[in-house]
Amino acid sequence: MNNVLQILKKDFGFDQFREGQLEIIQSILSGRDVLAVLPTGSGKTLCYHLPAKIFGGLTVIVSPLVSLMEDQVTQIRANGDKAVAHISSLISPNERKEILKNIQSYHMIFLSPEMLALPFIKQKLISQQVSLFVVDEAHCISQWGHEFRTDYLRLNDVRRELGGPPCMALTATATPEVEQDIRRYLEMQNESVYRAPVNRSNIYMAMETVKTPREKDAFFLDVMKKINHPTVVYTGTRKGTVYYANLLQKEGFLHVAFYHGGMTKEDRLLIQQQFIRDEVDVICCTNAFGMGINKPNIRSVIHLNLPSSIEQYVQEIGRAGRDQEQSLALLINSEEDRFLPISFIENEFPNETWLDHMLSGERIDGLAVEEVRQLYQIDETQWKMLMFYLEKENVIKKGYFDFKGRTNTVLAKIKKHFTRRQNDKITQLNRMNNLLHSKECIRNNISYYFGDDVQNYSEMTWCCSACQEFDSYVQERKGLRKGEAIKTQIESNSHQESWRDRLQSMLLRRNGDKNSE
Amino acid sequence: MINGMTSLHYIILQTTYAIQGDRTINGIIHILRGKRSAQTIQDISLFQLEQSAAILKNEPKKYVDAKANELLENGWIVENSDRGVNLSTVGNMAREKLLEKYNIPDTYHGLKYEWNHSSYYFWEQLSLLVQTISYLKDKQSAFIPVSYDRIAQNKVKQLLQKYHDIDYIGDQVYQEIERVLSNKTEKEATLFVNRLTSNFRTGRTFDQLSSIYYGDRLYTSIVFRSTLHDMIAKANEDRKNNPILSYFQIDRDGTFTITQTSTVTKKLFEEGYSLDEIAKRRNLKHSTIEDHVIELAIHDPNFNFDSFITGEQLQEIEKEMKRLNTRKLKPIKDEFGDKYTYFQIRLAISSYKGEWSQ
Ligand SMILES: Nc1ncnc2c1ncn2[C@@H]1O[C@H](COP(=O)(O)OP(=O)(O)O)[C@@H](O)[C@H]1O
Ligand SMILES: [Zn+2]
Repeated sequence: MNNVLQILKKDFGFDQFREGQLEIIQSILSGRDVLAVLPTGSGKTLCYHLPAKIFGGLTVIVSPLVSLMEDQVTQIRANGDKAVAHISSLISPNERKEILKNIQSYHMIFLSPEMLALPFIKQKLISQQVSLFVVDEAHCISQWGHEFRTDYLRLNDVRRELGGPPCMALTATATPEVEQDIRRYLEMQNESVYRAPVNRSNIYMAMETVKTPREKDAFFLDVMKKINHPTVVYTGTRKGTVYYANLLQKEGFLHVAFYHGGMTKEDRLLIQQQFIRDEVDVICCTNAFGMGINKPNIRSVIHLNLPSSIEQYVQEIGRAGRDQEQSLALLINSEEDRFLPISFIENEFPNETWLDHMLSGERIDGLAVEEVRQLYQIDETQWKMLMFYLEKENVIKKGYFDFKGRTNTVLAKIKKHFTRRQNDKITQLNRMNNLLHSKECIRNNISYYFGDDVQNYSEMTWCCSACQEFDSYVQERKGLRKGEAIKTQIESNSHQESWRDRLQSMLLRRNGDKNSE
Repeated sequence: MINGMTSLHYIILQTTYAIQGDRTINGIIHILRGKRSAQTIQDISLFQLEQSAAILKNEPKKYVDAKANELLENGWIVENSDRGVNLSTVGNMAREKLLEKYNIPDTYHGLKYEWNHSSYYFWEQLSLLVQTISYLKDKQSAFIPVSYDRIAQNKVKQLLQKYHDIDYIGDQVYQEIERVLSNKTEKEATLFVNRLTSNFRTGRTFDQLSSIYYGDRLYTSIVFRSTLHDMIAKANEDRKNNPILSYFQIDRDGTFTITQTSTVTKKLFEEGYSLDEIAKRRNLKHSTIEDHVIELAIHDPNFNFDSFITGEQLQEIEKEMKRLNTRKLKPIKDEFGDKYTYFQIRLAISSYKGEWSQ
């Protein structure tokens, strides 16, 4: 125990463990398998990074989110640990060769599941002493999870071939069904399960229903003037992010930005940074915002739409109050937008008409994948989803479609699959709807849903809008507003400063010169 | 409506004006969004739309379609019997009115710098370099980079290693940027600098900076890119005085206008396969292979298409084209009857580089 704490201080520069980290690390050090359900940003990396240092040998981490994985490796390397690399489609074959050649000089290798399936990579890993096998985003292993990946089903075979090292499965969301699948497919032994309590006692949860969208806007604006910021506002649609950001600006909120998946990568990164660095204090966004973002001082999370599942709701409100300060989660529902999420679900999947058009006959057979993408101009997520299944069906060879006369079979299979997933989603949404319409304690309902111990929350000062009126929360907390976190002077300075001054302060500042701030 | 007209409307109007009824609205949108197809590539050179090629590449298709529809519904753009589009009188008046407001700076060149994303790569490397310098000057070496791109990161690393001295490299980058910006308007220069991220201020998005340009995000981004294009051009013209800016690697896609699939066709063709054989071998339609040839005829100076059409035949078709003053296939084909195939006429049209009377 002392030992790990010392390593934490010496190698990572942190004074203490975050919730769950120590339990997880100790379990894995004692040779047990571990399943950990932790929200994004809670410090999952450390849970295997630290044991990797103690174990020696090689730690293999499998993750499906290739670009997040790259971020992660960049971060770790930037923090001084260079014995880390990742192997994915993002690196060139040459770089891959280099890494494999020098594999013994690394203590952590991140891999996408596709790469792990390649025989020569697997062989190379087998030749090493693999001391820990980490499965990130482990919910992908379950058909009940929202991101089922077949290549995850093969992970346990690989683990066996690697000599059966201890296994750590990590995920941010898991219903009991998903949890069970993870344990079963990874054949976990004597496993210890750590689940961050979904019950975040410093978050007051409120759900308010108004009649019309108009009333919703008025109510929202009113609330925004009374509550603490920084705030994340989930609007449901891309259009909504722009609409509400404008609305707030008109009401005199200066530091508002919007964020959605349709923005360029660069713009998304900038807005994210502005928010993290307190240059912007309200962000209106779709659920594209939040992945991998760690900002401790978010005071409020507001939903202007119905999240698509209870898991998603809990994950999104969980971004509030990471610093343990009292925070607010408010969902504003208008009776009239009840049907919106359903049409959303329908739009989420590739539309049957163009599936038919694209996949029937020999229309795209032999064409380059990129060419077809340009031709159909499909929404990116849908395209990725479709590609995923087409790849699974083995009809893509070296960037070209190659159906070998199986187009109709493939089409039928894919259609069936999408229908099933669509139905699953509707079930999930109904559960969220029930949560919204229940008159009982929200915290209670959520704990029950996740199979956590249901406690009596009536003792809490601020539990939820079923236990204490939302109005009273706002009224009583109003006096406690902290000064805005915002560096207002940045904006006012920037108006006077000429572009030359600013460029000079970026590039010509000498040591000892003051920051222009 | 003219008050609500955005630069996006203007760009569609202006392009419609250039094309004069020879293409459908979709054809126009493909050019503006930089669709990689033989047809688009052919059209860009045919109608001399090199400047605006791919100018809307970051705009979602749905959004562009919606704006084009507004123009059609309001009768600024009208469809002719072939579904080709023309400006109506009011449409043309609107175009003239907006000409100045949404003037696309001369230094902007879509085909050179947007089509192949080279201005994007350039910016990625430049902004990462500036950010890095600014952090290193404060002895902060861990920060969230504005770009995770490997090539960008390597380039920055190489530059830092090459020059060692952070103050020196800061001075040098400053000089190179300042030289270009000092020839720009205050607005343009301010816009550019406000996009940069440093250790004390995150760069702003186009949307956040659009108040300088009528709240028009797209136009703001065009002005910004025109500065970038200028910077790249200047750096390439005078590499000696721009050691840093000319060090960036921006030509990632190789020969940029030629699609990958056409390159495959070219290879097979040069190995001696006929178009039919190539089509069979690649499991593609014959017409698709023809598209590839057209694309190569336009953009690959080394591609020899003599075996499809002789110089005399070319001239004959060109003469007819000029006489009819059209670039449309059908009327030309009708004129010749069976003498030439559609494919040959297309080759002639697309390889024609001469002047048009308007
Ligand atoms: N014990 C700790 N004390 C302080 N900061 C920590 C601790 N553990 C992790 N962190 C920081 O928390 C952030 C999020 O961690 P990360 O592992 O990226 O989260 P995630 O759970 O989303 O993978 C990182 O910046 C990391 O350095
Ligand atoms: Zn309660």
